[in-house]
Amino acid sequence: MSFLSARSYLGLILVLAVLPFILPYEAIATQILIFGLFAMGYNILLGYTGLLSFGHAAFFGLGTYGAGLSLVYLKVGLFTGILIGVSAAVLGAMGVGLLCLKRKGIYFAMLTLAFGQLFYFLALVVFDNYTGGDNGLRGVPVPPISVGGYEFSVIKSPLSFYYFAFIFCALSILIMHRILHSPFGAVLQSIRENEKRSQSCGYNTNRVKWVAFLFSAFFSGLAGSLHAVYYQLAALNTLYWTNSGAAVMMTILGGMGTFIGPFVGAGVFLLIEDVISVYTTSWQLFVGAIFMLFVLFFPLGIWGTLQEKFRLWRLKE
Amino acid sequence: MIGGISYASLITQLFMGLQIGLVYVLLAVGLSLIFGLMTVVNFAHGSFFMFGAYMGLFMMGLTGNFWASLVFVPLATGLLGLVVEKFTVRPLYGRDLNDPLLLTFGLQFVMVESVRLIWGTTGFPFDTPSALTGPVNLGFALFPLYRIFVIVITVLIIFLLWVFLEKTSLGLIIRGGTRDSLMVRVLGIDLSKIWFLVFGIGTGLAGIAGVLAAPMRGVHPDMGIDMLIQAFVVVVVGGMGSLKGAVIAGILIGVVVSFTTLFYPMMGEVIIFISMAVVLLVRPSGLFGEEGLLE
Amino acid sequence: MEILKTESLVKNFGGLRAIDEVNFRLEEGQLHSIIGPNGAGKSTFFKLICGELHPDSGGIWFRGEDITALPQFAISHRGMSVAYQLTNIFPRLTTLENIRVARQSRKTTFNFWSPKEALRDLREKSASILETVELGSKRDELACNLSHGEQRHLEMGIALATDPVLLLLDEPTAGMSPEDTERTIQLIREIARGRTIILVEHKMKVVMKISDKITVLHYGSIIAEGKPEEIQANERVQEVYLKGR
Repeated sequence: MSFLSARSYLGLILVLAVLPFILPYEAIATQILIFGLFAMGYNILLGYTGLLSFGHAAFFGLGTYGAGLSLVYLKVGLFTGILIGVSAAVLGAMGVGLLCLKRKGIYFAMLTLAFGQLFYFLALVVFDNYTGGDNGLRGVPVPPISVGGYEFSVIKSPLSFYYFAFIFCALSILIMHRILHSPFGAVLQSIRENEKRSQSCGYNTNRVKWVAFLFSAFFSGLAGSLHAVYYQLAALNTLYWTNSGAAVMMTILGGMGTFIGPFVGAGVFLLIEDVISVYTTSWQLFVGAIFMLFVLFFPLGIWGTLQEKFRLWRLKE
Repeated sequence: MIGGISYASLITQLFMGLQIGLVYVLLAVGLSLIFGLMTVVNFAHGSFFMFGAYMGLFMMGLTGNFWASLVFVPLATGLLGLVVEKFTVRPLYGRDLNDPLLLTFGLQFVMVESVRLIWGTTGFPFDTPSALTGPVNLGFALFPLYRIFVIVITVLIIFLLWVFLEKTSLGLIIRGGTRDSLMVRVLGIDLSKIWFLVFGIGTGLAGIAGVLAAPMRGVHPDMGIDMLIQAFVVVVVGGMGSLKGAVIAGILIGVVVSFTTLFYPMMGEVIIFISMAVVLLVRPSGLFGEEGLLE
Repeated sequence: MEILKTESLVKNFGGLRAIDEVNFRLEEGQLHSIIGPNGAGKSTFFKLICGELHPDSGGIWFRGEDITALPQFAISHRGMSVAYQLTNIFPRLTTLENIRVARQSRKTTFNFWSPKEALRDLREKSASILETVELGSKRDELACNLSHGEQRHLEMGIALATDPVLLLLDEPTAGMSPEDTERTIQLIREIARGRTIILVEHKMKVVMKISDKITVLHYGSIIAEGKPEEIQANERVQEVYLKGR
């Protein structure tokens, strides 16, 4: 891989650092941060391990409700709330992963979908006294944080929240990069390429997949926690299967075979939604159609195709 | 009386379950056929269900004749299915097995939003055809005539399908292809034509389920989505690729949902997902599916 | 010294008895071939030994340890390796990475923090294994872009990567031209030094040329065992191969 391609994640962080000034308004930039993180976390499983999950909304949602519920009912501090959200996602993944990974391929995908929906209905119906049911959990407080003796609220301004979230995002990108380029990351890819062979080489692939599942849920849950803080609401639709679908679409749109592709995909997805929504409420129609086109003709995704074109161009030189 | 509910109520609920279940069966059979033959998970199947309902509405608006709708709808829906298969699913043949799943996932959004665009977001009621309104006295309770009609006609459709699959040579090829597509190809049969046909039949079935369901639940852009997931559960429980499984599981799940709604209204949906998870874990090939069809 | 043995090994598939009370002994350092007509149970036997399948009854001992119930990855760690008949590589990884990741299993799985390049000696050893299987020039090539013959060599390279003491080779010359077959035979001879090998092959010439000992399977049972000359002269074997009885 060329020097630039290998360093593209640094480029991403740089772009994200100035994103609010490139885009027309902060809200969309913040959404891109949150969902980009979600998609990248998701891609640990899809792009690197080769596991198609249709239930990742569960982990995003567990992060959202974990943070939301603890901030509302337990009145914890902000960092604690986020930590609880992430922990909820990882704990959920431990159980869900254990069960879903008993199967492979399409059965695995359907199992994750079933569990995702299970969590949705638990929040909608069974625990609606706590979760607020259809309306979600409103009025999530955002306690001020103290840094170096100063106390301030991260939601003081849209920009302040953006950079609060940016720090989490940038750290996550760096950590994910480390993980996916480590020996562990190499094992993940061997599983994606040929699980049986990986097993016969001596890897306990079930355990490895489970750990990948946990990592994936960690970052998805973090994105969910940030979502709850940003909107001051634990929204029910974060658990709905359309949110799982969003993760899938963003990842594939951007390029599941690359590291930063999912983030690019999230950005494109949200920008398309934003732009098209001005003209029509049927933005999902366009995104759905575009997604179909990508599956048919551009399986490498936007960033993947760009990287490939760049690579071929360099070969010619 | 059991738990404060009369026997009459229970049996009525059983009939309800049967009727709901049979509609599931129509959906599940289509899904199962498509999966069994093509290993394609048609995520857009619920959208064909919805499309069928809207086509029915359209036809009713045009002719006022429900029976005409019943004929028109499966044809229109099946035709759409054929177009979809030829231009979007077929090109994916030979690629990763997850690709058709992803494609139909995108298709689902396109279909639902298109319907929203054309017919609006709020949906419409669908009048029960006058010939089929009113209750029927079953002796122990009154039961809507229309629902009995649905039971009768779905049984008829399933029977016709069974005859087609078991007794015609084309049906034999389809069944053979479901079990061993390589063999069928080796025998010189053009598999792509069979795929074409099966996708059309499967979606046509979804369409007719939609128009049958319309008088009971109205017509709404989102009506396909819940049905899709429930149809999946039926297919998984019955066994992917097994028609007998789809029939039995469909009725079973319909009855379970019906009774759960009676006793624990909250748990209706949850029960469905728990059963799906349990089946996938304990016996992933479902009650009647092939072992190791796809792990 | 005995390195592998099976005792009363049985495997059924539904009503079919694929492996029927097989007692097999393997001496260390030997190149031991298993032959038999189609359906004799060769690949089933193979899969039972490496742990891909588990027997219905009977036992398998490897280096004195009972491995009958162990999962495949655990058996791999005990010094056994397989090179498959249908090329079983990691397509979108580079040739070097194919070998490196295989070898890595001996060192670490859950290291999330070091960059994988930091495991220097792993890379170096993998590169030398590549040389051994004559793929040194194709280091950075994606495995899916190799020719069929090259992929078969990579297949063997992956099997060698884990430093096995027992190597299972399943039809390594399948689909090869006579020249490639000859090169592969040379390669097998080389890697056989200091290792024990079980070879399943259809090409009689290959088997007769390089085997120290041959076992003949038929309908899941051993019908003959011995040196190549002995097997060649064995009437029962001739009967089974020529007349299929």
